[in-house]
Amino acid sequence: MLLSVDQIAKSFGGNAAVSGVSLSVASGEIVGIIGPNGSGKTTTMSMIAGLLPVDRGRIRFDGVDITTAAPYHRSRRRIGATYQNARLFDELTLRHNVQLSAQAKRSAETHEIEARSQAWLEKLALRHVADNLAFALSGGQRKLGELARVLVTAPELILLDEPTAGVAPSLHDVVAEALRQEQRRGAGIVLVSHDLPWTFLLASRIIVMDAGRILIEGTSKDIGKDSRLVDAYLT
Amino acid sequence: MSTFVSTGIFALTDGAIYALMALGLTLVFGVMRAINFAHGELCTLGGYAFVVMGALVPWMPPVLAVLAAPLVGFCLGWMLHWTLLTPRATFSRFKYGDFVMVATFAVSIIIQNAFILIFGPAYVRPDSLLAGSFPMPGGSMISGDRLVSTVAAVIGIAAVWWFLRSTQTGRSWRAINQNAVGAEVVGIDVRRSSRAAFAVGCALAAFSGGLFAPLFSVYPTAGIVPVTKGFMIIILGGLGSVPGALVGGLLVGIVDEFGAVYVSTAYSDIYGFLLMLAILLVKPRGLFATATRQF
Repeated sequence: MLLSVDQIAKSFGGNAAVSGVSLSVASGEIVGIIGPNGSGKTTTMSMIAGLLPVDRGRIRFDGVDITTAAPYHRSRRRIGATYQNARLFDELTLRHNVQLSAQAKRSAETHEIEARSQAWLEKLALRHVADNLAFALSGGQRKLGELARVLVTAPELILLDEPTAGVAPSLHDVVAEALRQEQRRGAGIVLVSHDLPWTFLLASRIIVMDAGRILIEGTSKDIGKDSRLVDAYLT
Repeated sequence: MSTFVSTGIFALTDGAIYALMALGLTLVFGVMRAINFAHGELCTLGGYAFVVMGALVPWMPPVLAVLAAPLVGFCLGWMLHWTLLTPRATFSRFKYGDFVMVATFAVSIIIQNAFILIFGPAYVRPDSLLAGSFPMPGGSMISGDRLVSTVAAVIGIAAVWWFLRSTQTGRSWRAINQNAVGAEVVGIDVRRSSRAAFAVGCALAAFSGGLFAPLFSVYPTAGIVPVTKGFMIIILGGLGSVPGALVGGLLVGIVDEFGAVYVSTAYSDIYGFLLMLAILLVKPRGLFATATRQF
């Protein structure tokens, strides 16, 4: 198994944000995590990416325990993540933002990194803003730029938090195709999104979270028919 | 006219060396979000390193001997960060920036007393970087020392500017400066980068001290006045801003020199402070401070 998360938990000031979540992701699999606001999706992703330390539980990546590994260690182990608020470097150009990630991991020669960056910028319709400083980009362009920054490193595990939030609907298919391409390459993908139809279309397995716990887990087809999904969003 | 031009030349030359020193301070603050209170002593160390190198290797041209200053500064900075300033879990009760401030203040006292023990309280002066004086526009003259120091400071500043803009490591430091968490998640080793930035900051302090040495001599507390100006410069320029350090350095050089010549030399150290206060009244975060700091 590429990623194994075992009973992780996180509280903030005595309030449990995540309570004993376990999940696994195989290579070449897309897993969608959905749930209402405050259900613990982003906290779970942040713990897997290493931005938040876990209170308890274990996280293993490719057989190695990474529970306490620093974010840059996880990143260098080829775990790529995008966040709810895109963390671009505002006063670097988008191109330099994208290249920096691959360079930091020393994942390829400079000319190869430049070529790969250019290819992803074109694929995600960012070529025309590639040399703009990041602070001048729109919200959607920032999200796509962050995605390009992750994909250029060809990670084995991709964690995406709301990758299409703010992105023009006409580009959702572009993002989906990029992720399918990564899936074919063998990357495991965890996708958190409020865009349920898009997530159901893309993910082979769906995890529904509510109140910091996993409520239901199953194939897109089964989850779509489960009445508890509607209850979670309405109550 | 001649006085005005020669004062202007002095202002630019002093400003360039101040800017070099302030660049080190702002680099450390930008990457580590911490102030190095031993910066002044590292400046003094650079002066002594130049003097000692000249004495140990008398055949070495002074323009090469002065390069001992940044070398010694870099090594000491690296060791200080490695032994004392590397963030550890036990720091959790303190803010890291506060810890660095107190720790480097302690280091500054230790280094200053070490200077007194080793070199004594007397003034020492290294060999001249370049003997003689040279004519400048407006009929004024500039000493060889001042000329070489200024050229070396400008080269040092240009090298740091190029490094930050054009190298992968430089871009990593700028990334940390803008968003340390973001830098970590894209795979940048922030701790290692901080150590390197601290060492380079110390090297710049020592280099500026080496360049000041032939102009003002070296003594155990020689770094206090320059580092005070260095703090003034980074505050008025904007903490963590490289353009702020450069422009601030030149502005402080200008008001210091013109104030001393056209107002009074008795208050030569307060003109920069008055400028700083005036700027902070209009721009409380300094001239070049931005929401995301800028290298």
